[in-house]
Amino acid sequence: MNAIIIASLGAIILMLTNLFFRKRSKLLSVFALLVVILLIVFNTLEGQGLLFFYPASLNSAFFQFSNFTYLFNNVLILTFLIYILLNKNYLLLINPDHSADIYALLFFVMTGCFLLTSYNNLLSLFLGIEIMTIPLYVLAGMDKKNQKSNEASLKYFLLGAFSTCILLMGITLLYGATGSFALNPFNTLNTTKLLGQVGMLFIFFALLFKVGVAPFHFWVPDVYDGTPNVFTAFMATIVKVVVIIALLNFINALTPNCIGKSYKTIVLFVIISTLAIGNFSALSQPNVKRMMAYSSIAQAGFMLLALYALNDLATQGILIYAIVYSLSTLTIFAILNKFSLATFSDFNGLAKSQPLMACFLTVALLSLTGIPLTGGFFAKYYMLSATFFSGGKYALPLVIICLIFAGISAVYYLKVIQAMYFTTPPVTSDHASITIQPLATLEKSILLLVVIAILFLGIFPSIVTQWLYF
Amino acid sequence: MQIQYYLYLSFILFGIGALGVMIRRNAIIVFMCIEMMLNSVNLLLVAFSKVQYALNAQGIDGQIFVFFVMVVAAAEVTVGLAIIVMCYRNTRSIDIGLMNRIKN
Amino acid sequence: MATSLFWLFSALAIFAAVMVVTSRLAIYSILWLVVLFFTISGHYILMNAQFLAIVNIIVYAGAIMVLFLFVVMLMNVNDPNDNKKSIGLAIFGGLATILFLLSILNIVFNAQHTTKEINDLATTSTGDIGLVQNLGMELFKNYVLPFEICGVLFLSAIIGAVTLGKR
Repeated sequence: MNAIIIASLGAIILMLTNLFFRKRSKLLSVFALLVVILLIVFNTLEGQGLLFFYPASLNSAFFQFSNFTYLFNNVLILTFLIYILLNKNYLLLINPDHSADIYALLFFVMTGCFLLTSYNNLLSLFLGIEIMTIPLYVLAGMDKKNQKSNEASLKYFLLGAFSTCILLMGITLLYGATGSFALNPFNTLNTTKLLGQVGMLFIFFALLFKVGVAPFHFWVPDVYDGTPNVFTAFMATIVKVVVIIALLNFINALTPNCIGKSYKTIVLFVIISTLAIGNFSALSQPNVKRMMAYSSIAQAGFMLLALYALNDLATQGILIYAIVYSLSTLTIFAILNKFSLATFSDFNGLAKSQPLMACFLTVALLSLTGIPLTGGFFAKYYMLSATFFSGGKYALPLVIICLIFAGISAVYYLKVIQAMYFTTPPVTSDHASITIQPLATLEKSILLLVVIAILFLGIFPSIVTQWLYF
Repeated sequence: MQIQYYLYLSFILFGIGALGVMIRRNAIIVFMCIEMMLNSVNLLLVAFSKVQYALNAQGIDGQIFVFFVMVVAAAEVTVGLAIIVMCYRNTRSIDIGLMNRIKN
Repeated sequence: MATSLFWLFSALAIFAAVMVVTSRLAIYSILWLVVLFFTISGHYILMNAQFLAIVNIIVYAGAIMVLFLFVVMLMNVNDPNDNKKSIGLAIFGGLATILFLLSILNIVFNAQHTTKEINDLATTSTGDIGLVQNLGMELFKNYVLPFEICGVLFLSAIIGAVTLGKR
């Protein structure tokens, strides 16, 4: 509860700073960082039992906080902290007249994220989804003069509103079957109530739509490509991970009885088609940003394995996966910020001209591939073993298929590494090398910390999961 | 009135709205079809809340939910129309198909 | 009386919905959508949800549709090109929708036979749960928290709209 309230208050205060700060004021990001640190402190304190705002009678009806919620909120806040530190200059540049508004909108999105990690009622699910996505539609179109950004915003908005309708239809049907919006009475729901099952299916599909996985992935490449780089980094990491957690919360609240047998078949189909479409399309993309869009689809497919397994190991796995995936993607996008277009040939010979940048990028890409000694390995390992131990006759084939697709993903990730280390830049590329800006000192140190964290998680993944049981 | 008639009506409206979203290319009309779908959901919610009332004299939360849907729809319209106007300023068109062509 | 009104409103609603989708000009779509909102308000009144009926007219027909009208008139979009639908997409969309509708209706029809509750009545013009007093009490007692969160949602929407709308 603390996190929700402080995030929204922070957004309001940041909005008002427009009155006092000059344009492009550096103070703005300092202020935002201060709010983020407050968020961490108060969220952690709430986990220890220190609540500052406690609407006692109302709390449990709409929100439920567990150890996992606090831990995951902290993960989100830390990711957000790193995101701001890496992108703060670009956040000021993208639309100088509205930089305070941009920060306010980002904090509103965070409010929605905190609602989604802790909802206990379909009403709070709905409100959380909306608070999260409505500012995102705006952020996608923030580069107002750019037609690609406009198109991304319009497309994201129309499809997002459409999926909201489907979500609402699902909620309505569930209400019709159970007579309540709370998540708990679903336990009494038995499988004969077809109406409720159709409702669950609608909610499930609508949330998959928001994540952007296979049958509903078609908006992802255009939207991620058109959106300004800084906001793509935000959408591809924090937002994507949060919706998957919301989905997991929803499925976890239902009993096995009301999920039904066909649930696993649906998830199986979704995972395999997501992995296939994401990986095969990523192979043939002209630039790295579009490749990252498809690779984020494929990575979401791996995160959905938690929905297939539904056990403790999967909970630990999704936590590690969320952290590692977010850190790696943020690193890659922080480096993509330095390029004007980022085609594959732009990376030729980067290891010579910018050795440190190439090194960071290599670790992040290897981690996304899932090479041992990087965090990505354990993330994938936890997910696959959770799937394996969940049992069922499809578990083993699914694990094998996932491994094959992980191998395919290596092809396009290694394409970038190969360009950086083993391709010499063509003679005429003096012009191209000028367009690559060097990393600032702060960015270097932050990226160094992030890369160390990724490597550290590749050796001691339990450092994160042990917090689940305190 | 029996509840299944409301179900039929609501689903038909929802389906017509979904059809409109799929076949129309004018962004404003697409958006209106989405509003139509939201309204069909609202209608069904009120009908279900009345069923709950008939069953066990509850069901007020269904109508409260309709209130929230309306609130959110209003917020969505504000942002959506701002986005559409912004697109129109740059491209002089609100045709979704045209937007796709510009990209290529 | 109530039954015949139900059928009247339903027929009008479906007709208006079809007109919204098929109108060539956005203006006509908007006007038909207003008709649709009035028929849905009629349904609300039949179900004794008076507050929602009024709010539906004020918010949807009054505020949202006027906003739409403003935007359409501001933009003055009368491009004949805007209305060229691609036939393939229309066929695909039509098929998808018909399949969707059929499957859903089939589900409802099946459910009707398997469960009893689906046959329950959405009681018309009885019960006072739809009155302003009861809704207000519930909204400001048990639903205060979501209500406040809605305030946050509105604030973000306002900031977004202003940010995008300003030149």
